[in-house]
Amino acid sequence: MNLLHRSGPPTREERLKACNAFGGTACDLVAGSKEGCLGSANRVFSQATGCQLMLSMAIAGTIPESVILFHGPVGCGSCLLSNAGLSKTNQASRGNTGNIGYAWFSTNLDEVEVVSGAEAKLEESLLEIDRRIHPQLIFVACTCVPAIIGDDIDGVVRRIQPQVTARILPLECAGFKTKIVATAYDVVYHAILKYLITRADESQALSTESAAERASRAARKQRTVNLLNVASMSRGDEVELTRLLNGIGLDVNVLPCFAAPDRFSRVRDVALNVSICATHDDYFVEHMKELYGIPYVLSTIPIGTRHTRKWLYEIADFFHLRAEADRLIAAEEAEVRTALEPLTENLRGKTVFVSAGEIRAGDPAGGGSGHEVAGRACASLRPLRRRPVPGPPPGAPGERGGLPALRAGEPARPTPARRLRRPHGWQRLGRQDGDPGAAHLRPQQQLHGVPGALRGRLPAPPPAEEPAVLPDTGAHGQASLSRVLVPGRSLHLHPRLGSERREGRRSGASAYRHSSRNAARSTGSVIERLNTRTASSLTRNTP
Amino acid sequence: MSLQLIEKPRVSCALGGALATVNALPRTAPILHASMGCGNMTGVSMQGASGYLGSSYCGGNSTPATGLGESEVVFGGEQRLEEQLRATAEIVDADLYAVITGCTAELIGDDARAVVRRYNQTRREKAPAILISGAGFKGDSLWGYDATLESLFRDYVRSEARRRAGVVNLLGVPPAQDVWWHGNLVELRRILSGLGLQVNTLFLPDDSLERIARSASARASVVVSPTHGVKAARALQEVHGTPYFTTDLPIGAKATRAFVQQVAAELELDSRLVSDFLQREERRYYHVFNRIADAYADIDLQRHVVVIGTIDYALALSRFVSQELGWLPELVVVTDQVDERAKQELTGRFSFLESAASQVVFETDGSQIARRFAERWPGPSSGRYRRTFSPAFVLGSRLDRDWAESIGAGHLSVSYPVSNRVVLGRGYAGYDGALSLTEDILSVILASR
Repeated sequence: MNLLHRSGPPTREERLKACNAFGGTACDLVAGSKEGCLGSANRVFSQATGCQLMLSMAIAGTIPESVILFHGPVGCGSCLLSNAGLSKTNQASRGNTGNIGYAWFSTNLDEVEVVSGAEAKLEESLLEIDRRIHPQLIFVACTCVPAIIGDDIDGVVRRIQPQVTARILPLECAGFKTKIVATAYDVVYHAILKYLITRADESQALSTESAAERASRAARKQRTVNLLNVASMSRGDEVELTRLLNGIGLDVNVLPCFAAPDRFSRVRDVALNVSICATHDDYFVEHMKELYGIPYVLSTIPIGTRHTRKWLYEIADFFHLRAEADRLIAAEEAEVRTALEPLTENLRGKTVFVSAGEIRAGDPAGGGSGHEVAGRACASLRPLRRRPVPGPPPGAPGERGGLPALRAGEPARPTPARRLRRPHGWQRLGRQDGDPGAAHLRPQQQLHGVPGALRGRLPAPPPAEEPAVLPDTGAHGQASLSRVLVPGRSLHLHPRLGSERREGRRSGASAYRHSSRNAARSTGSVIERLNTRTASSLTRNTP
Repeated sequence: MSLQLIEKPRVSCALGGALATVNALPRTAPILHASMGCGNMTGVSMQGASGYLGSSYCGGNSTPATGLGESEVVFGGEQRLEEQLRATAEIVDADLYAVITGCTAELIGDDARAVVRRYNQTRREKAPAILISGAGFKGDSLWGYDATLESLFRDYVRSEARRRAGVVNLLGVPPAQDVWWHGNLVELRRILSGLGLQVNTLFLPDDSLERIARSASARASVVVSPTHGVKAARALQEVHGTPYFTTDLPIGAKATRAFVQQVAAELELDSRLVSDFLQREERRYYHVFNRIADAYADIDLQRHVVVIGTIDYALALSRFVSQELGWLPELVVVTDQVDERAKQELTGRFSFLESAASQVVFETDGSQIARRFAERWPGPSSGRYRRTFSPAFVLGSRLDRDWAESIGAGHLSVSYPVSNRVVLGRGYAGYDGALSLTEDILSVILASR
């Protein structure tokens, strides 16, 4: 795909046919995805979420020597106030000590400009920021108001760019345009691909590089990778993954977060792009492959020994460095095993609930430290294998036996057995209400309620240790339902309580009432309750 | 006045202010009729940047919201609002629903008022709803505080023929944007109760919607800010005839004495009662405050100070540090967006400063605050002996800390945003608040000992 001719990326609804609301049977879900008609699904009761403007700051807000100009009313961008100080620490940990910290402006639109148009104010603002701060980049984040009143942001950027020294990157991120907030990552990558990388190439072509320098750059390129570090990768992750890749003889560029604008000039000088999260990076790596012929690795997140091993082998094999990877893995795993030794005993027989982003939740956390994973909450839906977790070891009183006690004021729950008899049995997976539940169901129980046609297509429970997944809706929540829709493997319904379609069989309201106390807490408190329950059962298990 | 480009605005939008205010009201659930993301964007700023206030009941990501998307922008969102309002009334246990409209809803021309009216007419036993205009292009979060109370006073409060002599409404302390709102309300209520008054603060745990519904019958509304809450108090007066008067936010014994005396004069309170109260409170206050005198003199805790904040905090803090802590205010920066006329009028309130005209500036942008300071204190000239701004202190928000460090000044985050402190019950108003503030300021200076 090459979508850079557009002013902004397509929404994920458009590009991936993703949706963030669904209520119905697994059959409906599969059929709907095939026919591409899930997009219109909606809720009768919905709750506050983030928007793509907010999420686009996950990349744009980290680029040093840059300024973000929110083109909109004064509140758009105010989320940055809550971590204005954090940025400095984060930059410093990457060795960025430039003068411009977390700098942002608002065009502060008022009622008059809403009527008369705000392009003139945007022009003046760009000139003023360039004069006042002299940043290398200015991201112009377009909010709902200019998108509705029809400001031509691209036109303004074209007019003003010759008059300023900063490079202007327009971000088309009006919140109302997509319900899949992860579109934000595409928005920022689109601007980087379109305005920054291309431009870097121009300047590179003009540079006076000697033949020797060019040869050395080409040689370096043969053993260099880009490690993409959007949002869910901390500094600690960057350091560790770089260390591992260095360990098999590779050089690493860590991009795009916290990377100074001039670092993007080197983004093409690599042999491979390495992403650990499709939700973040698929738009970028696909474009890099299409435009510059740079392949990518994007299959797992290196958490735990098994997945780190898989990740390392995949990269090493690309570079024909299998032997180096073998040596590194043997040494590292031995060290990890020793370090985990004291924990293993404490964790053995314990049940853990994992709540994390889609990939993290999908991969076994901790890697063989003796515990079992009872359930997982993930931010979006992916095909995940599931297997029943074996029952409790004999003679462990209280373990997993009954449900933990209700909290005060909580309405009585139906028992798992009763819920299993409901016609749309799969919904319960998203609504475990804290019983160590679905993970302990026997396979035939798990399949109960799935219409026969689909049941036939279900994969046999694989040997892998991957128990049930309880999808969650976090800030990243609406990522990519489309990827789930592999027939027979896509059984995890969205748990946003009350997520029936408007024309659904049961109203969202009544669905919600079934599952929650009166407070309109969404998944947050469900997970909280799960955690509480898990914690309480852990407590009881402790001798 | 056309609004200017603004650097790191120290406010959110009207919707954010309205949401924070509604979240603080007893048993009231907000319903946002706005774009996807408005709730989260403003919620994060109002909670995280207000000393980790927390989302409260039905706040944060739990806030019911219509989440307007492209189809509503094209086809209108009234139906969606109606659906959401009825679903919320079904699901969310509250005694009042507050529909807050955002920019998108107001731009596409939804008649949210009609939807709310229709709901109220057909709601049967369900709780009533009110409508608050929270479009960000109409005003900032402080404006949103006023807009919320104005809607509440116009559409929810009952008219009552009889005025209750001993009851006052306390306005002008906007939840979240006054980071210390909770503690301030507690202390101000304590003080007014000491004068024999019953205080309707709206937002404290022992307030109730029933009490708020009877706000109109109060003897008067006391607005402890020259700007915030005034519009709401005026609406209450206009609709229900409840009089109001404004005072400054009192911090410290002197400011609180002036506050108490003004309240007593306005409400014609018994002078004996008032003087007894002041005597009792001041004895208690100075008994504790005096303890710092030794250290203050021995190790010299006097400082040059720059005060940065909204008008109420700029006034209250600069008065406290100059008149009660003995410090030397060099520059007072008011961060509100106000027009020229209001600037002149507000500058007049700083009469306690030596030369208010040159010491008080109105700046919204951090980098311009640094510039204004540099104009007053040009960088060190060459040579061995020079006039330096030292020892110095900056009382401002978290956004001013880096600059404070750059001029070698101590720093305490007091005005919004405060993302580097946790604030639970602490307040800075009145007597107890001034003791806390003194502790906090001097502890910064003494932290290295």
